[in-house]
Amino acid sequence: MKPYGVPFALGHFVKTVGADMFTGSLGMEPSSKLYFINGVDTMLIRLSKKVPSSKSTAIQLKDSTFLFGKDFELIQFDKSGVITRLFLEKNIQTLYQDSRGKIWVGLHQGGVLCFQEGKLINASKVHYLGDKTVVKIAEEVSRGMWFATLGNGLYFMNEQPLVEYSPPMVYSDSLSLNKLSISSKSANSPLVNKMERIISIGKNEMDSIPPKIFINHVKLFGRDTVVQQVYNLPYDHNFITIDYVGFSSGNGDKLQYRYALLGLKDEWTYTSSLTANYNFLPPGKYRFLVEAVNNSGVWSDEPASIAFIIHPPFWKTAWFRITSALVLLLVFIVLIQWYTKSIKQKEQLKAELDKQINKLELQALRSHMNPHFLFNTLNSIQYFITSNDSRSAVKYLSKFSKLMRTILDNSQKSRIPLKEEIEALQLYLELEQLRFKDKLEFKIIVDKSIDLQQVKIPSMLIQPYVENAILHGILHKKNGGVVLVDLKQSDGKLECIIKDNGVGRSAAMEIERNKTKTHQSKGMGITQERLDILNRSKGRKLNVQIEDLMDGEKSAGTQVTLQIPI
Amino acid sequence: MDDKVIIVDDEAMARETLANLLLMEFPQINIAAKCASVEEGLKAINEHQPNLVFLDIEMPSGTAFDLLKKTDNKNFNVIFVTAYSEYAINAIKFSALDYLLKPVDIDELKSAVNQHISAKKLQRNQLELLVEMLQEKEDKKTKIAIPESDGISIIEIDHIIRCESDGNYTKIFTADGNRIITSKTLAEYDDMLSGLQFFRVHRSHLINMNYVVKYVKADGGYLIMKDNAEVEISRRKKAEFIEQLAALS
Repeated sequence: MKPYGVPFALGHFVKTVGADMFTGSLGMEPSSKLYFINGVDTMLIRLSKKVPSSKSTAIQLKDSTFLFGKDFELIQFDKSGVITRLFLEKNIQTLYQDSRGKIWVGLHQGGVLCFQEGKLINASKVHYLGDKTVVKIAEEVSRGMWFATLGNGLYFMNEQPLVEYSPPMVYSDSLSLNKLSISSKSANSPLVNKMERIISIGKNEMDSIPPKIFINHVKLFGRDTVVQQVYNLPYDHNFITIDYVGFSSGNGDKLQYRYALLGLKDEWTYTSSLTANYNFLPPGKYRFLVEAVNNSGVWSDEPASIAFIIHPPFWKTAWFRITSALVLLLVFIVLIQWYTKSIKQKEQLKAELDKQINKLELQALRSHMNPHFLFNTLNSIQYFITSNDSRSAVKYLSKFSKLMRTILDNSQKSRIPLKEEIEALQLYLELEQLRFKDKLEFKIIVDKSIDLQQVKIPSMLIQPYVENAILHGILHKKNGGVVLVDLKQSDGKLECIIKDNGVGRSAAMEIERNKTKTHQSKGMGITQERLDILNRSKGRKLNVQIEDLMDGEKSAGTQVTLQIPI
Repeated sequence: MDDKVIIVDDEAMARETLANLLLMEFPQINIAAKCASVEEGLKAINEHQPNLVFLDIEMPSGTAFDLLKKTDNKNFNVIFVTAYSEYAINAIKFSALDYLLKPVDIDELKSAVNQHISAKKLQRNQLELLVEMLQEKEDKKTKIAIPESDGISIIEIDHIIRCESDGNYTKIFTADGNRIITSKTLAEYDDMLSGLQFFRVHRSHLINMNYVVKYVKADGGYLIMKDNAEVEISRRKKAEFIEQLAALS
């Protein structure tokens, strides 16, 4: 071996291009020196700047000249010396000459420069990729150029030349990208295909063996579980953590990973982490896939996978929704039916009550205008006419008219001032007196403290009891008798006493029993029904008490006490 | 004129009114007595043997019927007087007796009294029918008095097959083949009988449902009765009739 005359120790930086070697020193001189040794000669190139860096790069161009880059400096030279020296704005990372002779310079945080004519002329240079750090350049002949960046993935530039981006692939380790080269190996997935095309398998045999990948933990809500092929999970167990690990046959290669959850997002997620997290997974069927890749870009030949079936909560299942919708509908229908029925019933009840009230009002009207009383009174007036007593005829006819008018007016109202009831009663008694002459005497006593206008009572309430006293008490008595109506007010109640000195109830009943029935006695029955209805609809109790008046052993008449709430 | 009249009414004014009206129309009439109660009435009838008695139906001491029941010798005619048409009136109608409503219509009074003055027919059978009817329970009427030109027929209601209107007259066909012509209108018989098993199938026909043999749908619908008579059914009554027929079977 032939010794070379190099005046300093080798090793500060050494670069070989084929059989040629560059070496340099970091001497104390103002600039660094680069020696070019090609086996014949030793040539010295001075560099403009003394930078303690091993980052230098060199290629031999097609015209047999050399291109050397270090820091900002790009130097083209041949055996006879430096041809061109250029200072670039950023540090040089890598150099490349493509099949058509274009010279590409990858820069640190400066993108890539292209000298399109193969000559280092500033005017012909084109700048791409902004301020990315381009660490490796490769050519896919007749298609275009690939650029590996540090931290920004791979870029592809086609012939046009437009920049087309590959899926971003972030490599924390630039070393693997330094092996960028093109091969024609193909694979199924376009992503993998692209990767296969741009990342070549290194010379190391070990690197060509695909790494193995395993899933070692599946945690639900942070709790470890036995790893299963398929997980059937309820809707609320949707916090899933999956730990996996890959094994490479290489020496301590740091593996990279990619995983995907099919069913959620059919895209790979690239990572160096050993954990995948999924929170709030909606119900559905999922398949988790994970693969590892070694430094040489060889992927696991088979992904590790786990299936998850997250069952929807019962209220989200179709059968539940349909059933509950049906149940709701049913309940709704039943409710509506029940509601309409109850309304109908209520209306019916109300209508019935109204009808009953109306009927009773009418009956009360009729009981008040007892047809017998009515026609007998008219008959009495006829008497005055046939007896040529026109004065009496006129008098009683007008009384009769007045009574009829009062009754008809009041029958429309549920309550009338006491004054009107008393007036009607007075008229009624006067007309009855006309019929029965001296057989009937009457007296209406009203307590002075009663406000006759303000106190209101149901119309035609007292009269039936008075009529009853006359027909069944007094008329059965040979010499007639007296009816007394006494009105008092106490405790929000009007107390009305109807007292007669007739034959008494038992005697009256005896007489009625012996008579041939010519009609059904309705008056009192109607009045009782009316009281029941009034009590039902008003809620205030209207009380009736009937007492037999006695004079020692002998009956001395009847007393009816009405307590009317006011 | 030797007609003797008695008036029974508990109200003095009613008695006087009737007396006044009678005297107005029949000045020569003999009002033998005016009585205020059943007892007084009975006494007066025995005493005066009247031809005609005006009877108020409802009196405090007892009714007109009480008086009739207690009278053995019904050799007098009765005109009932009442203030209000109550159900006793129905029995009076069945007996084909006369009644007046208060206040009394003077023309009705005149025609009622005239009948009794001229005809001199006794109502004894009718009065007995009336008393009989009143003794039975309500609506258990079995007989009806039908006035004819020559008297009054009292027939079983069940024997009537049908009644047919003939102007102001009514022809009554009975099960024994008789035909009675009466001066009452079909409407009056409809009134009295339709509560029983009778049905007015047509403006001119009142039939006893029990005597319907066949209902023929043809020609707008008609009935064949037991006496082979064909009775037309009016269109309006058809549905109701079929309902009644169904209720019967």
